[in-house]
This record gives sequence, structure tokens and C-alpha cells, in this order.
Amino acid sequence: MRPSDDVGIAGYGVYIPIYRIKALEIARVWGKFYDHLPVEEKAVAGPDEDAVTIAIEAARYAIRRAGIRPEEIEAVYVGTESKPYAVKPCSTIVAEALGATPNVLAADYEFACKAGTEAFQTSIGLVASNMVRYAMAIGVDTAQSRPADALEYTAAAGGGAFIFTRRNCETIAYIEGSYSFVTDTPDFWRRDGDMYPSHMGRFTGEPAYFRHTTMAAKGLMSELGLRPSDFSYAVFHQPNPKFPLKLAQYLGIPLDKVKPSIVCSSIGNTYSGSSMIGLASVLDIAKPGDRILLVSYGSGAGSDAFSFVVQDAIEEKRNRAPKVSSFIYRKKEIDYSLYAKFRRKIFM
Amino acid sequence: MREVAVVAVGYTRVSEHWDKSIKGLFIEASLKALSSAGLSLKDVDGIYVANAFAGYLQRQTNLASIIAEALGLTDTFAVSIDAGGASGGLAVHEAYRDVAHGIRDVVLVCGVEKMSEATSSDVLTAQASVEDQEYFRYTGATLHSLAALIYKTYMKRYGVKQEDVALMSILDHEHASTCQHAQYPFKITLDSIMKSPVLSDPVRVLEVVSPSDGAAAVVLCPHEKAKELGAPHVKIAASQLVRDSFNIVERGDVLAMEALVKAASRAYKEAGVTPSDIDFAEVYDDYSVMGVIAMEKLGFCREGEGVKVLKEGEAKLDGRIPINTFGGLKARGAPIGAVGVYQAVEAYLQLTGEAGANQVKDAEVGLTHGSCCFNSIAVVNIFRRCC
Amino acid sequence: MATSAYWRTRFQRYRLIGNRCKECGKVFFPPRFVCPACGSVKLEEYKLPERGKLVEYTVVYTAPKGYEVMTPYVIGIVELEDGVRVLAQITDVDVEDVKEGMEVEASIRRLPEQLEGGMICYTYKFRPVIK
Repeated sequence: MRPSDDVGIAGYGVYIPIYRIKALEIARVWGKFYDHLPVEEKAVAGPDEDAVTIAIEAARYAIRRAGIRPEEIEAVYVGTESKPYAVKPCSTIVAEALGATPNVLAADYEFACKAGTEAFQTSIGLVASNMVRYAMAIGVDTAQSRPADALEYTAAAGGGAFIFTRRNCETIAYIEGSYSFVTDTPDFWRRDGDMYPSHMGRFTGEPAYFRHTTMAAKGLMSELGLRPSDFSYAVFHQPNPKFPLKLAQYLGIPLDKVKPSIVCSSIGNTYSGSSMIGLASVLDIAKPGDRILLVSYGSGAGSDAFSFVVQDAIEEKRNRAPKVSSFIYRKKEIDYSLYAKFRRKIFM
Repeated sequence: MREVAVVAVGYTRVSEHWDKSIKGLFIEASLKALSSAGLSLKDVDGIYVANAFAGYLQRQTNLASIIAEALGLTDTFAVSIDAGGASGGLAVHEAYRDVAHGIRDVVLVCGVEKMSEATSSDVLTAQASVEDQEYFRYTGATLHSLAALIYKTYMKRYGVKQEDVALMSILDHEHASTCQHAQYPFKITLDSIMKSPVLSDPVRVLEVVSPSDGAAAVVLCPHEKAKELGAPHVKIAASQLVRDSFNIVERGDVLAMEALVKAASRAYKEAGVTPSDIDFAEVYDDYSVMGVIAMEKLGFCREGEGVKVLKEGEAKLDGRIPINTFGGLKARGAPIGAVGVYQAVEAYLQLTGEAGANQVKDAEVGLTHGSCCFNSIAVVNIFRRCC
Repeated sequence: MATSAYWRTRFQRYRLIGNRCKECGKVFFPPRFVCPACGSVKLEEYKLPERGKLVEYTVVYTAPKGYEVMTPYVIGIVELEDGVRVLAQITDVDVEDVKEGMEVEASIRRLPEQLEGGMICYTYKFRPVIK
């Protein structure tokens, strides 16, 4: 999909909670012995955090980088599967907290881990059609996982926010095009009223993650006439550190183009935040002219692939707010009992 | 303006009165007061009920009418006074003004509070409910935390230690150890204070009031009438109330306590006395540091020298300026809305020579201090011995 | 307290909106109806800066209802860049790491659900500045 008018990113911001729990600590509690735990540690939301608070933090940094006034934002979309309310939008709280209300479009998106890039697509469309000047897309999660489940090692908290506008000299990257690939593939779900999601083990791999991401990436490249070697960086959804590396091999992309975006080992899988934080990590270091491939994945299932080209404004704008690495180094380790307290796994 | 006298007092012990209701406590204290002056309910033409938390803890509003009705006084003026820890002092103030201006003759002022039957977290929430809720409840701050901020600022400014400030609690307990109506009639040590749990750093459990039940009553009438009754009585020489911002952060200097400074200076002027004329004072020490600051703001010593007064024993019963002669809030106990009336009772006992083991020798002028929210309401009443 | 009470006052909590006296310039947070300094009722909206430094603090160990999950937590006085002081919780700090003079910035955080009968309330807190 190519917008009729050029669209760019005016600013971006991420937020990762300060708390970390080590995978080894989780394994210790459940009496597991693992030679290879999926991640080193994961980010845990504090007792006063949720998807809304993380979204606001990331969004404020995005506004700071964009250098715009909050009231200039005419659309706020929050993609998450950790809505604090089952019914009541997160986006209204976020928009109000930012100061974008009341003349603003606002809605929540839900598409497992690709809810954030789904919000990208809508924002790009709104900007390209001249309906709005600035649109904000947020992907954020405080991912749930059943205690003792394999997901518990990785299900993490974090998010990113991107502001889209017409491509100009102020934008830090522009969009060449996108491609979406969606099917009905039940690899992961959470039923209404359930506290924790269910997943289909190895079914989440080949028929789900790999098929959709590969098809979206290939579709994008063929539509734009690009080859893997045309990209300086590739950012893939990272449920664990292995999947994106394996995907790079499938697509014939050298691993060193993927590794800069892989933060999963230090923060875990931030679900809807994952592609956002991955993209932000690359924008933190990319040079003008670099081309970035972004491929998200959401269970259920689908992938959005995008091609971005970095612009000159990145050099100055990226220093206006903390980079992903600042959040990775800012951390406090907690043990399982504090984790259980923070995530309300202790019933009071 | 007529001269006004306190002609009778009545009170319950401050305690956990599991078997008594708010009404029961009130009636017990009130009837004791009336009968001690040879008065009956029929003589009363006004009831002033001081209470802070019944609306929250007992879900009982409209307290004055509920109590008047329980006393069988359906045709008597009755009003509730709600000003947190200043309620008792303010009730005395209102009653005093009404009698002085000839609006009423024989009035009953009774403070009552019943905190024992609530959970401690309910009490904490009730105590914080005197702050502006539209703002305060969302901050996560507690009264303990505000006291802690004041405490830390005080220690830094005057270079004193917690061990110095905590002497206030030791003083209270020492005076309470011989007080019949005290909730905690025993002495405590510095060591036990410093080993008690921290509520909000540095404030420790043994420096803070605990929930209490109790009722105290005073009967006020014109001085001329008191002489006719022939009962021991004392005169009210001054009563002043001043307010300040609730938000201690907005006050600029958290140690300023402007309302207390103003109330004190106006009361001294009204009574025609100076701080050195005061023979004893009952100060509002809901936190140890607040008692220390009160002594300074009332002019008994210079700023920052409150702990020196304590260290040198000047606040003891035989000291230069006896403070909290029956144990103060910490040890006599603090049924919050009733505190000011207990203080009035204690001033009466001192000035009529009925203070027993706690008697301050030759006491002529006594002062009581009530406060809500760190002197956002400060009330200062001065009592004088008759003949 | 009703949902509407939270709603009415959301701007002060979401965006640190106080007000300022048009006559004497004094700034108030939370906003006031009347200026206590000069008596004026002409007050205009005033957005407080979101950065400041911690001037005094205390660690709360005994919390009101609903806040138990947060203990121990820090309550402090923050002096904002324009000199206005606000009372606030300091979050994302360990008790042993909190220091006077610490640079902090406003962050929106979630309050205990028990506060408004199940509604989720959000308010400003301050946390150390992320460099």
C-alpha cells in the first residue's frame, strides 16, 4: 500500500518500566531447569503503571521529539491487548492527558501484538488523505501471562509512540509503502473473562509468526521493487530473541542488520510495544538515507510490513528525548514476590 | 460584653469504651458536669457539640440534634461544631461568645469522639478527611507524611535530633502517669520511642496520637451567675481562632504556623497578658514535633528552642512553663473532636486547685491550644482563676 | 466520592494545570477560586512546568486504604522550574536511592482502584529524570 501523498514520522518516543525480573528467578520459583531460558530478563510494570500510563510516557517523548503542541495532534490511536478497562477507551485518557482533546479522533486498536502497527496504517491513511495534520499511533502492553506458563518468562511491559505527518524537512523518516498479510490463524487468544491468554505452543511458530511475517515482508519488497540488500536495517516483531533472527535467515537478511533492533533479551516481549521499541532502537542510531524494514506480527493472525527511509532531521531530533538504551540501562531488579505483588497476583 | 465563667466540668476517662456509644459518652460527661454545679438539664439553654469524625466513622451526621434529643431536650438550641482537632476549642469559643453577648445564659459544651470501633485504615482515612479531598486524596499523602515533612524541616533548620524532639512524648507520658482520666497513664523511655515502628520517616508510632474514645463537658455561664451558683469556677479571658492554608506546601515555609502565631498574639491581647504570664499550657501535640513547635509559636521560648525547654525540664509541672499537665494528646489521649474540651476541663482543674497530683502550684492563668491540619485552624483559649 | 469529582478535576492531575491571579500574579496548585493573597476572583489557567527538584521527602510505611500495595513509598515536596512547590508522590525510586535535590519530572500514574469504586484514576507523580 502506497499513500498518494508522502507521509513521514514527525517524532517518536518509547517508555519501558524500570522494574526487571530475571528469567532465572521465574525458573527458580517454578522449579524448572533450563539450559536456555528465552530471555535474560523482562520489564515489569510497577504497581502504579498500566498500558495507559506507559502510553502517556511514550507519547510525551514523541511530542517532545516532534516539537509540536499537543493540541496539533488530531488523532490518537492506542494499540494494546492490556486495556485497563474491558470497556472504555484508553485513547481518550491518553489524549486528554497529553492535551490533544477535544478535537481529536481517538480509538483503541486490538490485534494482539500488531495493534500498534495497525494504528500506523490508519494514521498514515489519515495524514496522506489530508484529513489530519498530525496523527499519533501508540503500541503498548503490560502483557499478561499465566504463572508457571512458558509465556511468563517473556511477557513484558513497554510501549512506543509515533507521530505521523506529511513528509517534510522536519520529518525524521518517510514511508515508502506498506503491505499487510492477514488470515484467521488461532495461535493465541484470551477469552472474555479469562485472566490469562492461551497459546498453541509450537503452532505459534511456522504457520503463524513465520508465515505471516515472511509473506508480508516479501509482499512489500515485491510491491516496492526492493531486495533484502536494499535495507540498512530490519526490525521484526520479537516474541523472543530467536524468532527475528530465524526470520532474517528466511528472508536472506544479514543478522547484523537485525540485531540492532533486538532488545527482547533485556526487556522481554512487550507485545504491541515490541515493533515500536524495535523501530525506535534503530532510529536512535540510523543515518539519513538508511532504509528500514519493519515487520510486525500479531497473533490471530497478521503482519504489517513497512519500508521507511531515514531523513536528515533524525540527527537533531533523536537527542530531544531518552533513547531506548537509556531505558534498557535504567532498571531495578525485583524478585518474584515483588513481581507477584506489583502485578496483582496476590489476592488481598 | 459579659464576663464568662466555666462553672462545671465533667468527663469520661479517655479509653477504648467498647460498651459506650457516642450518645452514652456524651450524656455521661454532660450529666456529671451539670450535677457538679447543682444544675439540671432544664437549666441549659444551649448545647455545643464538638466532634470531628462521627460522620465518617459512625455514619452519623446531625450529631447535635441526635444528642439533644437523647437528652430529652427537643426545645433547646443545639449545634454541631466540626473543625477536626480544633473542634473542641472552637465549641468553647462559640459558646463563650454567645454567653458573653447575652444570647444565651447557661450553656453546655461537650466534645465527644469514638474512634475505637473503626479499623486503623479507616481512622487514617478519617483523619486525612479534614484535608481538601478534591486534591489531597489523590496524592497518597497521609497526615503522618505531612508531619514528617514538617519534622524533617524542623530538625534541619534548628540542628536538633529526633531524640530531642521525642522528649515531647516522654513529657506527656510522665504527666499522664498520675492522671486519672489518661488513656496511657504510664511513663515511656526514649529507647522505646526510638524502637517503635516508623509510620512515615522519621515519625514513629510513639510520637503520634492513637485512636481514642472519650467525652468531656464544660458548663459556661455569665460570671455573675457563677457567683450565685457558688460552685468553683474560672473565667474565660480570651478565645481566638485563626485559619491558614490547608496545603502546607502552599504556605511557603512549612514551619511558619502563621495561624497559631496570630491566634496567640490576639488571645494575649484580649486577655491583657504576655506569654510569661501563662502558668501552664495544654498544647495540641498530635505529633511530638507539633508540640515542640507550638511551645515556640505560643511565645514560651524562642524559635528552635522548644527542645531546650524540654531538655531543661522547664515544661514539667514544677517547671517554668508546665506543658500538657495531664498528658497532652499523646498520653492523656486524643479523642480528636473532644480534645479542646478536655483541655478546657484540665485548665479548670488546674485553676480551681482540683488537679490533684498534677497540680501546678499557684496557677492563675492557663492556655489551651487546638489545631486542625497543622494549624490550618488554630484556636487559642485563655482561662483565668477567679479570686 | 463520585466519579464526577475525579472527572471535574482531571486537568490538574493529568497536566498540572493550576491557576494564577491576574491581579497579583500568585500561582496556585491545586487551582483556587479566590486569590488568598489579594482577594481577586480573576484567576487564569496556568500550566505548571513538569520538571523540578525534590526539596524534602518522607517515606510512607503506613498507607491509607488502597495504597498498601505501594508501601514503602515516597511523598515529597517538589520545587518546579518556576519556583512553585507541589506535594506529590515520588515513584520509580527505591527508598535508599531517594535524595534531596534529585531532578524529577511529572509522570502520569495509576491510583488504587478502591478510590472511586472500581473506576481507574490517574494522577501526576514525579519520577527521576531519565537522561
